[in-house]
Amino acid sequence: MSDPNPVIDDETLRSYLADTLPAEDLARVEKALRDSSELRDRLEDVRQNRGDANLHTLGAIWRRGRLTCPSRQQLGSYLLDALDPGLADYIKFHLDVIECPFCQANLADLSAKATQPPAAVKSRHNRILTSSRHLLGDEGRH
Amino acid sequence: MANTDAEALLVRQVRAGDAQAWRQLIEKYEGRLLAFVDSRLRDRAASEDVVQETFIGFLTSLPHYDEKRDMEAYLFSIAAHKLTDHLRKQGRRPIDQFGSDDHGRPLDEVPGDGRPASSIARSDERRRAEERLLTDALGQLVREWLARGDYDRLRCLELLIVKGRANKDVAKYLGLTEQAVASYKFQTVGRLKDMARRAGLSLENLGEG
Repeated sequence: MSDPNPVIDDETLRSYLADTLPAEDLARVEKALRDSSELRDRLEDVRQNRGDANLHTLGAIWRRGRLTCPSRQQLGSYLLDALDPGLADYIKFHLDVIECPFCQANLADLSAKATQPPAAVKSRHNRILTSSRHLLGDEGRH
Repeated sequence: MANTDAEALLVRQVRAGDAQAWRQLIEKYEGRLLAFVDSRLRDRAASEDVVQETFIGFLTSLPHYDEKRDMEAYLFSIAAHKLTDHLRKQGRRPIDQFGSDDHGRPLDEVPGDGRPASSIARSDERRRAEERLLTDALGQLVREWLARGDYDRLRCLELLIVKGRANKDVAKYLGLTEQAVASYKFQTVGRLKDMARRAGLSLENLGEG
């Protein structure tokens, strides 16, 4: 007779991260993750170890290593149209054709910096600080 | 991209509980994380919540964070995970699982006409060694292409490997001959194999079809 509540081991968590769990197991893991901070911490550990064979691909390695992502400084220069044309064309390709989500996010952020009201930005930052401060060490509480 | 000394110092300060350093880290990265999450959710309030969870997740995972690991990439990976969580809670299938190979293929299947090989991924240790090697080797090739402005080759390999496009589609898109695309791929696979051999690893099945 099978265990109605099998243990959620690291392999199960790896499958969860890889989106390969059957629906029933997926629901069970998601519920357990919502209920258990210990399990959420373990999930983070598993995720960082990245032991999933399915992730081991050249494409994934390229993306994870962000091998062709321009630096944020280069993205800033791209916005100002201050790059060598060849590199600027390549960055446009990386953004528009490869659709690199991280470079797109950096570019959007850099573009927004000029137009966002500083008070709104500060308010967002304060909210994060308030919600996370208790997780800093004792010295951070003053 | 590796962390700068300033970033490593910032992490050490946050680890020590320095609230000012924590504020600096939030100020530095919050905007790009919000842009990333909001590009997927298109819901500003929900995106701000996900970013908040991301920073909390960062602090929670800080004891395990390796300072050598690129901070931005690390934060994006947490954000993607929190985003996935959020979408699942809403009953929506995740759009993208960071790190999962939504476009790519198994290591040995260089796009085009590759076929799976069984020599890859036999163990975590070996996978890690191969991943380190391939990251370094591909990184070296990319730097060479960038340094000499060989953008055609770079675009070609990025479409093949990252986007998983077929040779003929890449040729058509870039206005190259299929022979040129096949040649770029052949040369790249050859160099990766050479680099692997010199490092004492075998990637003999890489790109065979």
